[in-house]
Amino acid sequence: MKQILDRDGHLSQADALTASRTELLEIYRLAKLTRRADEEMLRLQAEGLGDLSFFVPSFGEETAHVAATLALEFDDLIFRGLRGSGIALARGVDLHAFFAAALGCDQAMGRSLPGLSAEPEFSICCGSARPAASLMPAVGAARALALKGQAQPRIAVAFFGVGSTQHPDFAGALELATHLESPVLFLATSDRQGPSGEIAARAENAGVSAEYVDGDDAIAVFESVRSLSQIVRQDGRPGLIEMAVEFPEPGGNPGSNPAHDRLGNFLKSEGLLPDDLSREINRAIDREVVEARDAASNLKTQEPRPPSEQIFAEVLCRASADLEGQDQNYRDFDAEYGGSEDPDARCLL
Amino acid sequence: MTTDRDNFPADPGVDNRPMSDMATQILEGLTKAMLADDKVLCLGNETETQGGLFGATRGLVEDFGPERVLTLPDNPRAQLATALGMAHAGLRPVLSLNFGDDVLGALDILCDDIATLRYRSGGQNSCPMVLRLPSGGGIGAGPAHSRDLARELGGQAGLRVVACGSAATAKSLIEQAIRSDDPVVLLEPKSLYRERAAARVAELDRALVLHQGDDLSLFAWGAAVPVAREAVEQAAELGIEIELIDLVSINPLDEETILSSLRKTGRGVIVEEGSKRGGIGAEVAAVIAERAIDSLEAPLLRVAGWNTPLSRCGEELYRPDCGRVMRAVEQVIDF
Amino acid sequence: MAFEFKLPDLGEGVAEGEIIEWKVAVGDTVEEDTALVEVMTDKATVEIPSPQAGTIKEIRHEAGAVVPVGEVLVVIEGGGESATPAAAAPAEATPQVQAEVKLAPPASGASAPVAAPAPRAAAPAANSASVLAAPATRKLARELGVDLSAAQGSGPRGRVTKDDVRALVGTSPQATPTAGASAPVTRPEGSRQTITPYRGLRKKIGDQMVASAFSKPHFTLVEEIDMTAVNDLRKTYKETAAERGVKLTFLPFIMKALIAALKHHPALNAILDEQAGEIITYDDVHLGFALDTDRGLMVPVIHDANRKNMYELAGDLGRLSGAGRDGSISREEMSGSTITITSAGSIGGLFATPIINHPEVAILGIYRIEDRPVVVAGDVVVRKMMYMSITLDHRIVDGGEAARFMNTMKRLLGDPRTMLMEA
Repeated sequence: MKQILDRDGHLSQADALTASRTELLEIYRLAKLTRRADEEMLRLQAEGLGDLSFFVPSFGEETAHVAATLALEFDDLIFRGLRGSGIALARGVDLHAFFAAALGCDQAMGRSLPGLSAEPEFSICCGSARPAASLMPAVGAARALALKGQAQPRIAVAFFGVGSTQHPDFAGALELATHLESPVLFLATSDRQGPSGEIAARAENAGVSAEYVDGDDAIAVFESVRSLSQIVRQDGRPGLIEMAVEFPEPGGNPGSNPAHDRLGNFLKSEGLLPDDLSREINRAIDREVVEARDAASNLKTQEPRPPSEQIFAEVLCRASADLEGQDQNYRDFDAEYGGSEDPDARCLL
Repeated sequence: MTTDRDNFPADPGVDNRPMSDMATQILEGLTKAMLADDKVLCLGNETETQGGLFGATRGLVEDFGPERVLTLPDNPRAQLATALGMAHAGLRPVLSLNFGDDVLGALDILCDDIATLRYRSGGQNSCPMVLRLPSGGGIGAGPAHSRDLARELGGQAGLRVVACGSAATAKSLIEQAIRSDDPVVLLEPKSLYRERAAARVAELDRALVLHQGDDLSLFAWGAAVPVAREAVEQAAELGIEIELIDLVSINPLDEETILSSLRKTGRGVIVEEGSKRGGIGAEVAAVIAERAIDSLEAPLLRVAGWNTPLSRCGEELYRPDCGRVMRAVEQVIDF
Repeated sequence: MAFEFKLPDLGEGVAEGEIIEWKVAVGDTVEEDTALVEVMTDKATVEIPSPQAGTIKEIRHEAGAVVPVGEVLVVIEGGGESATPAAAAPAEATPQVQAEVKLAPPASGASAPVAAPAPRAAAPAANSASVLAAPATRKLARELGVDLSAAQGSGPRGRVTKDDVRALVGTSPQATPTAGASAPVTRPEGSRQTITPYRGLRKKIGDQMVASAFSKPHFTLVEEIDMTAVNDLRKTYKETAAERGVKLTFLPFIMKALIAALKHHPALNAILDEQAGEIITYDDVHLGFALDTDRGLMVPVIHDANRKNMYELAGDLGRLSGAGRDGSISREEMSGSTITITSAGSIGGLFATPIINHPEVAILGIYRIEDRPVVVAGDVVVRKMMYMSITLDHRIVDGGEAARFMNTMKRLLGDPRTMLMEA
C-alpha cells in the first residue's frame, strides 16, 4: 500500500511530494467543507425538510475524493455515483447550487438524488444511483474522447465504492476497458478494515494497471492520481487506483476524521496552517454552509408546488403531444386548486 | 420513347430508385448518416460489425474502418453502457444487437440511465444514440429470440421507440433516428429484412396513413403492417374501405393521426404482433377511449399474438394473419 | 334446483316488457308450457309459457313493472336444472356489450294497478344506460335530445342504431322534440289525483306522435262528402253480409273508395325513407286503421287491401279490431302499413287534424255521418253528410294533388257505382 504521509502526518518520502502548498491547503479546506456540508445535509434530512429524502454522505472518503479530483485535469470527464459531495465541491460547484439541488428547489437538478446532478461546466456527468452504473459508461466516454484525437488528450474518470466491485458490471468494465484500450481511470475507495488491495489485484489480473494506496493519505492519493492519470492519458490505456480509507464506525465519534487530521498535522508541522488560519477556515466554512442552507430552505418554502416545467420539460428533445396534454392538465389543476389549503383537493390530480 | 411514368411528376415522398430490401435500405441510411457526420459511429459485437446477422451492416467496416465501426465485447450491458458513455462525450453511436431480446438483460441501463438522462440532468446531458433491435418472429428463432419488444420499451418516458413497418420507410427512419437528439430504439421486424420496396419518407414521430378509407381504421406497426395491407385489399373486395395507419412511432404515439382517422370512420381494429395482454394495442385503444369515445360505432378489437410465449413450431399460428384481421374487421363492421 | 327464468328476448328489437298479469302465484305447480305471465311490449301483448315443470318459488316483479329483457321474472323450483329459455340466445361470437340495468324506485304516490304482494319493491325504470347502444349513437341521442330508452333498437340483439335515433326525430336540424320535455314540471297540488306511469304502449304512442308531428310539415284539407248513396248501398247488403258473419259498416266503403282513389293518386300511398333519401311508392295498399282501445291507440293493418273485396275488408276489420282490443293481435298485424285511416273522429267532433303515421305521407280522417240540409239542384234537401280530412306530409304531396285526391274521393263516395268501374 502506497503511503507518503504516515499516520501521524510525517512525510515518509519527501521526494514523492509534488503538490504545491496551495494545493495541499486547498485539499485540507475542501475536505473540511465537504464534511461540514454533508453533516448539514444529514441534519436537514433528519428534520424532514423539503425533498431531502435520501442523502448518502461521503464521511471517510471526502479527503481522498478531494485530493484525487484536484490531481486531475479540469476537463477530464468525471463519472460518479452516490457519496460524491467532495468531487463536485472540489471541481468548484457552488455550495448554494449544491444545497438547492439537494432540496429539490432547482428545476434543473432536483430530479435526481442529491449529489448526482449534471455539472457540464465542471466536466461532471449526471450520476447514477445504481451500483457500478458509472463504470462502463466511463469506458465508452474515454474511448470517444480518444477518438476525437485532441491535442490535449482528455480522459474519463469513474469514482466508485467497494459495493460497485461486487456487481458483474465491474468485471465487465475492466474487460471493456482493455478491449477498447480506453483512457479511463477507475478510482475505487475500499474499506481499510476489509481485504487489502483486492480491487487493485482484480484490475491487474484483467490487464488494467493498478495501484493500491492509503486513501487516508491525501498526499499519496494526490500523487498517485496525478501520475497514473498522465500514463492513462499518454498511453491511451486504462488504470485503476484502489484507495483504502477508514470509514467512521457506526455510532462512533462522528467528528473523527483521521485522513483530515493527518493532512492537518502535516500542514501544521510545516507551518502552513497556523492556528488563526485554521480558525478562519472553520469560520468561513460554517458561514458559507449556513448561508447556502438557509438560501435553499427559503427558496423551498416559497415554492410549495413545483412549476410544471419541473415535471414536464426535457423528457424528449421536443415535447410530444401527450406530454403537452399532461402539462396543460397539470397547469389547469394548479390554476384551480393551486391555492387550496385542502389536501384532498390536491389529491384530485 | 416516353412511358406513362415519364409523364407523371415524381411523388416527392417516393424515392424512385429501384426497390431494395429492408437490410439494404438500413445499410444505405447508415452509410449516408456516417458520411454526413463523423460523430456517427456503429457499435456491435463482432457479428454486427462484420455485416450483421441480417446483413444490414455489410461492407460498413471496410468503408469506414474499425474505429467508426467498432467491435465491442459480446455483452449487451457493456454495449449499451459504451453507447451511453460515447453520447456523454459528444458522439452519436448506433448500436446494433443480434436480437432485440438481448436488450432485456440491460433494461436498467436503457431505462434508468439512457432514457432518463436528459430529464434527470435537467436538459444538460443528452443521449443521442440509436439502438437497432431486430424484433419479432417470422424466422423460426424460438421464444427467446422472437419478442416484439414494442410493449417492453414503448412505455418508457424519454425513449423514442420507432417500428419499421416496411422496407420502404426503413432508410428514412434510421437517418432521422440518428439525427434525433434523443435515444431512439428502432424496431426492425425480422420478417421484413428481405421485403423489397421503393424507399419513401417517413417522419420519426408521425403515423403514416398508408391507405385512405371511410369504413374502418386499421392500426398496425412493424411486422403487422404487411398483414394489415393484405386485409385492406381483401376488405376492398367486399366493399369495405379501410383506412390503414402505420403508427411508425410507438413512443410517443401520434395521437392526433390516430384520433382523426377514428373520428372519421367510427370503427377501429388494432393489429399487433406481440401478445395482446398489456400490449401497445391496449394503449391505442385507451387513447381512443379517453379522447374519442363519442365517435365509436362499435367496440375496438385487437388482433394480436396470443397471451402465450411464442412457440417455434406454432409461430405462424401465434402471429396475426390476414384471416384473423378480416374476422375482426367483419365483426366490427357488422356490429 | 331452483331455476331463474328471465324475460326472454321477444325479438324485433324489444328491449323490455310491462307485466300485465301473472297467471300463476307463488306455490303454484306448473307444467312445461303452462302460461306464466302476460307481458306487454311496445308492439303487442304476449303470454309467456313456463319453460319447465316445477313449483313457483318466487315472483320477482309485480304486475305493472317494466322489466328489461334478461331480467329474472320468476324462480321455479324442481325439474331439470339445465332448462334454458328457448328464446334466450346463446352467447354469440360477436363482441358482447353488457347492458347495465339500474334499479330506480317507482314514482312516489304511484297507484299500483294490481294489489299483489310485492316481493321486490323496486321496479326497474327504463333509462338510457339499460339500452344497448354504441357510444357514437349515444352522442347523437344527446345532441338531438332524444331519450334512448324511447328508441326502437333495430340492430343485432336490439341494439339502438343511429338510424333508430334519427327515426325518432326525423333529421331536420331544428327538430329536438324531447329537449324541453325532460325539464322538470310543476305539478298542480290537489287532494285527489291519480298517477299513471307514462310508459309501455302509452309512451310508444307518444313517441310516435312526437316523431311524426315534429319531423314533417303537416297540412290538412277538409271536404264534405255526401254519404247518402253509400248509406243506401250499405242498407241493401247489410243482411247479406250478416249471413256471411260480417258486420258491414261504413268503413269498408270508405276503404274501397280510398283504394280506388289511390290508383289515381299513387303519391299518397308512400313512405319517406329520409336516411336513404328515398320516397317509396307502393303498388299494393297496406291499409292501417287507427283503433281506439282501452290501452290506447293501435294501428292494425289490412295487408294487400287492394286485393280484397268488400266482405273480406269488412271481415278483416272486425277480426283485427277484436284482436287489437283484447291484446291478442300479432306484431305482423300491426306493422307494414303504407297509408292509414283514422275514424276516431266518428265518436265526436266536427273534424280533426290527425297526425301522420310515421313514416307514411298521408292519413285519411273520417267523422260522424249526420243528417244535414244541403242544396241539391236548387232545392234544400236532407242528406247523409260527413266531413272527411286528408292530412299530408307537405314535403311529398303538394296542395293541388291533395285537392284533386279529395275530389276523387267525393266523386267515388257520392256515387259508389263508380267504384264498381274503378276499384
